Amino acid sequence: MSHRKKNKNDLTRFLKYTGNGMKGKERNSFERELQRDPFEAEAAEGFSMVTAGEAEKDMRDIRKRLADAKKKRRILTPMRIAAALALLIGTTALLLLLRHSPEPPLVSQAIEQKKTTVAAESKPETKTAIEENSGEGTGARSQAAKMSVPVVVSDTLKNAVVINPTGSETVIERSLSEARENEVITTSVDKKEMLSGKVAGLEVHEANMNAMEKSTSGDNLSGKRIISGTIISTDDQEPLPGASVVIKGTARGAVTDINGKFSIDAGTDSSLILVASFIGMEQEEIKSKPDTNLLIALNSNPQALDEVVVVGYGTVKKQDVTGSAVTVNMDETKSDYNKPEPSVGYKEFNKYIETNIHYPAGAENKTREVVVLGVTILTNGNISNIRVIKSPSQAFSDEAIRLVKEGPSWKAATMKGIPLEEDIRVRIVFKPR
Amino acid sequence: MPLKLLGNKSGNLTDEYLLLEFRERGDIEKLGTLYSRYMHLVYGVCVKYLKDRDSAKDEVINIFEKLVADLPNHEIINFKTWLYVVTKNHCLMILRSRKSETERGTIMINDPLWFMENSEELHPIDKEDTPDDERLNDCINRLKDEQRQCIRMFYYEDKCYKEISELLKMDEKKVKSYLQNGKRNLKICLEAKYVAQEEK
Repeated sequence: MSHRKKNKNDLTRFLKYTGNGMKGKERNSFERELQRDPFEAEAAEGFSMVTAGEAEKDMRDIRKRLADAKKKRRILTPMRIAAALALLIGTTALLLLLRHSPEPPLVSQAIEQKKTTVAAESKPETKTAIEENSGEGTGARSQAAKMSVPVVVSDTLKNAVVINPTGSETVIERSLSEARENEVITTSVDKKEMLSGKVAGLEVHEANMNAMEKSTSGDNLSGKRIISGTIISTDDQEPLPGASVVIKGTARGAVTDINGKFSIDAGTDSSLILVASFIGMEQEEIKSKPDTNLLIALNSNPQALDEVVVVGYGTVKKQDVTGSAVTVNMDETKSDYNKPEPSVGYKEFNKYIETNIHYPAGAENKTREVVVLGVTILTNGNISNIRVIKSPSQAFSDEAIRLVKEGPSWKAATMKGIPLEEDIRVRIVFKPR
Repeated sequence: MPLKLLGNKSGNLTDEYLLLEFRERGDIEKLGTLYSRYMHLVYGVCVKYLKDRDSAKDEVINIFEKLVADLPNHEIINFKTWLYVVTKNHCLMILRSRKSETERGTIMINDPLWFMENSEELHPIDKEDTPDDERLNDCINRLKDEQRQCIRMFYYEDKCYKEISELLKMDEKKVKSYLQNGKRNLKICLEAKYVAQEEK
């Protein structure tokens, strides 16, 4: 790529090509590059849909917008760090108050070890958790939001502890820069952005209010344990209706409703794995406990869509089949295959036969006779290769063949809208008059 | 930081270096430089699929944002190839979601090139100097008329699509498809020859 500099198809060359500024050999060498690289080939197809002037203007616009976006990022970052520190102080206070929470030793240890790391690491996620809960808030949750703070924080602190023993400065620096990225993502107040921040950081957030309740009140009196939650797509943060969730290793599961929500009877297991899946999305496995509310984000997997191959059976011309997939227009799949038929329809065709049929003159005692012909209907609707399959005599055959030959034209069979050559049988009945 | 010695002129830095700088130090500027090398391609592909300049512009920006978020989580060997896949998938997903917003099934990708295998490996005939060996020649001679003519004109007489389409009195699209199919047949033919040789 980079060693072939002289030939590199940069924007200038693309514009020159689109603007018809290239001739002969130069054009050829540009096109050769397209042959080498599908990326460039597709881009060239795109360029051919606009004028060189338009493309140039668009590229200028894009450059300007990108520069703006980068600038914004840089100004906001220091503010982010300040906010992180402020949040850390708040969180620490909270932690001290809730010392009986599951992992206090880990927490304090982590804080003493590397305050800065903790600050950077914990801030964005904590913030996300709080805002998410209050955003969704159903009144009773304001308490839940407060409670979920220690849970999430201790989680990230655990990460901090894992990182710390390796000790070197580069590691810390890196975690700081990672944190910066998370911050960048949470920049916007827009709720959608908040969600995507969560996606980049961790896939699943436990809004763990019930878990806390449980640990204080011991075992639940009502035996029914429910896992509920929402499934969204990471692409647009929209809920996914019809996605399925199954408890791994069991047949218990649920399908999300129109709002992407689901709830499953968790049974008696204290911890289990949920498998969430949806067509076109990557399958996701999530550890969960009963009485939790989950937000599951699925990554799209276009591959999974590509792999759906529909195979139809029938006579298809070889050129349509070898090593390629044929795109199916979904409108046409309803009736994949259509038999050949007279262009006027069978009803009219039968009428035509009845009015035009002549009982062969030579035939003696007039009885009911049947001739069956094999007829090939070509892709253009033409009739070819008429064969006699069953006939009482030559005279009957000739008359039957004449009827078909002189009769109405035919429509070829189609498979997914593609005309096919097809053999049919035509039955012609001679009735005595 | 010995790499720093290379200075700040990004013009001749390799893709790999810029990528590393971004990954190790989170330097968005470096990613920006890298991205701008291929931005026109991203734009072109977006125009091709979205068929609309304004959405294409938006998506070029969105894809950059996506890179900032995604790059740290991916092992990337060849940035350009990877960017191609990301861009294409991004456009596909947009088409998919547009489809579900409006009527289902109205947007269909009817482009046969879509399914064409984009082999990672360079086709023998696309190598820097078109090899002039006997085997390739023999295979070219076995091609169907149109395919052979197109291949010869394009690769040996350095004619562009337009010239070929005028000479052979056929549509430019036809020329491209003959080239594509010709290349595929050549590859099959060459592979068969290599296999036959190894067996000897």
